[in-house]
Amino acid sequence: MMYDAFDLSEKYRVPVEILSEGSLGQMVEPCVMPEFKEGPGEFDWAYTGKYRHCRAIDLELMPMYDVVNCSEYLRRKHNRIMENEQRWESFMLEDAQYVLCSFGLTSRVTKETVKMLRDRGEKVGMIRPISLWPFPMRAFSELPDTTQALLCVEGNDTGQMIEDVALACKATHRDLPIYLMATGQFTATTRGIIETCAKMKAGELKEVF
Amino acid sequence: MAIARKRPTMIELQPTFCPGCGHGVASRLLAEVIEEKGLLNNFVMAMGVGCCASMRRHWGGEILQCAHGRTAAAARGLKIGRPDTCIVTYHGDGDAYVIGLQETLNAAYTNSNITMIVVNNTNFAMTGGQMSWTTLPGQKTTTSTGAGRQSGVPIQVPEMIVNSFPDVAFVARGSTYCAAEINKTKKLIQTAVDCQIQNKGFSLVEILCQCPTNWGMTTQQACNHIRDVVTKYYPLGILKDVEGDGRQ
Ligand SMILES: Cc1ncc(C[n+]2csc(CCOP(=O)(O)OP(=O)(O)O)c2C)c(N)n1
Ligand code: SF4
Repeated sequence: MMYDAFDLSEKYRVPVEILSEGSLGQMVEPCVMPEFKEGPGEFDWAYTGKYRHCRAIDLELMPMYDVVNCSEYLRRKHNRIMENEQRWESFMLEDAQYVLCSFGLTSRVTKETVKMLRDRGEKVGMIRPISLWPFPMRAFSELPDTTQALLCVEGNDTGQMIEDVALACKATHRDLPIYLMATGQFTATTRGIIETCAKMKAGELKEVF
Repeated sequence: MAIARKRPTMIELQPTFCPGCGHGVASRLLAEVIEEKGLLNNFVMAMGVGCCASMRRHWGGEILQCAHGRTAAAARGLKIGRPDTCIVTYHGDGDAYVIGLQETLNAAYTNSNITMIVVNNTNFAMTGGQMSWTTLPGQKTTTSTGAGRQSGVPIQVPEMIVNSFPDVAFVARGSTYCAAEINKTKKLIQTAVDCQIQNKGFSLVEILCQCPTNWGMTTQQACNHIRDVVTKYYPLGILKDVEGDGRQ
């Protein structure tokens, strides 16, 4: 994602922020570094120190100085990013009745749980949003018709993604109950997630949205 | 009528500062110095947020509009990317000394080879004249009556830098309140830019500027106020010159 961060920021000329996890600083595991890449060279918008005429005169070049067109310019750029840069991973969604949504470290446990439940013949799947903005709305438009409910499994105490998931469902016209399992003080366990799923199915869990 | 001074190339359109504002003089001095040193095609200005931001409507040349206070950090980035280009920040005391104090001190601490021009008008002018860390005791602003202990002791960042980071190249304070000081201030800017060109390290020139609008004064009163009151707290002159006294 680090390579992407630089490439996207240069492509759209926007800041890109990588939201990392504290756990990364406390764990050790092997990883494969991506191939080293050469930089793309000079951009036509780069600062070179060469004299340019006052840009307030040239609104074509600098739409930011044009109050009327500025909003339109920003909206276009925004929409282009929303269209092109949604990132997520869908896992075992096919015919899933229950879909777990999870990100970061917790999503590893969630994915493991989905595999375990599938082995038992339960129809569960997972969506793992990768980009926080643009939020992967499209992932939710691909939910199968069989889906009855969503469970957000989050590594925080209050549920930070669940509102985005609810909005994504609303945007895709799916009126599904959305539940929360939030474990801020410890990492979720497969057993914990399986128990929560069972409660959800039994109607013992209160939906958040 | 004979034209006493040529308009610098960079000032392409009519500036929109208030009449009598010190920004007009300070930014013109910078434009003159850059042009006289033949740097028009090798110069980027990192511009802060404040009244200076209106310069993007009349200045030519390359301007990087930085986020408020992040100016010194952005300038350091420019210098790393373009080590052979002259990089100068231009901003107010609110930008450089209050919201951006950390960036300013960090640039001085690392003795970054950039030049900072800081216009000190003892208030946050652009947003309507609020109290700043440079506001003088007893000064009335839109957020302080001037009575009692509403403000602390005004911050003296140039002194702070010189005392804390003795390796910086050049730190000085000038003013735009009269012709003699304007000429001296131009020399300060020249020296600061020279330090950068010769890779001597960090340079900063603070310029005490009149803000007639927010001080509620005429231009003349505001200039007299700098002479009689502001310079008593913010003394003019060179605080640090890596070349010693030899240069002046
Ligand atoms: C992050 C952020 N905070 C606050 C502001 C509002 N703001 C705009 S200009 C300004 C004060 C600038 O004061 P100074 O740097 O002294 O410049 P002057 O206008 O006095 O020349 C403030 C607080 C902003 N634009 N961005
Ligand atoms: S408000 Fe003050 S600093 Fe700003 S342009 Fe007017 S006189 Fe100058």
